[in-house]
Amino acid sequence: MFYLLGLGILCIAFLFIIGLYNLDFKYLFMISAPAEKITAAVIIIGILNCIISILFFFGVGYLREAVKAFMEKKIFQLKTVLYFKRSGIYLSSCATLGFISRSLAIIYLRVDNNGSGFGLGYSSLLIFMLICGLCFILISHVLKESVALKEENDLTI
Amino acid sequence: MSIYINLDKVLEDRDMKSHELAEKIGITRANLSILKTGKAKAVRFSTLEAICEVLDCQPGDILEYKAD
Repeated sequence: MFYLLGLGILCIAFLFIIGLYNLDFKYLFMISAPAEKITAAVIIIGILNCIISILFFFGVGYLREAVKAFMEKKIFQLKTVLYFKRSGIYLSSCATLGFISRSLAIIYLRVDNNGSGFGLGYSSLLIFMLICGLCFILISHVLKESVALKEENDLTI
Repeated sequence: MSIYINLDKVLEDRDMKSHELAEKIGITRANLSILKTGKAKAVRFSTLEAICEVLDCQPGDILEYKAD
């Protein structure tokens, strides 16, 4: 079951990376364009995209730790709760910043909002990531309650 | 918590060791230690009944309420 889950996560990550590539491809052309075309908006959106990528990989990293803890049967531990919470916060922040970046790109760079090319539409990916992030935060809250219940059960003599 | 466990005192009065009590009431030494040190969050009636039966005492002899 874990292999299937891992394969699913890999597929999602692959699609996501293709989605990011679709977005950044246009910016790469803009940055490699003559100097007069590099406006403040391009730089700000570029920086935002860098932050988004960093947040995404932090989120995925913490998710990996959480899955690792699950596989080691360390489910009801505060460490696992923390991993899920951090993963959720990073992924939802990444999605929120992605929306801001995308909005800026549509307003200032006249980038079309339609997903094109290989992967899913970028906005769909952001919505998916936001939902995932919020679900992870929800799971972390549920796990926190479970940890408290388990502790109470363990300390009932 | 304001509930204190006087199990040590009762055990001393009965001249009984902790591990003997643990064996007689069928709980582990670790759990008895949790109970004695007051770290336990709850005590099952069945455990309390077994303790009272083995030590020939009342629940009030083991549990005590002191306002903080």
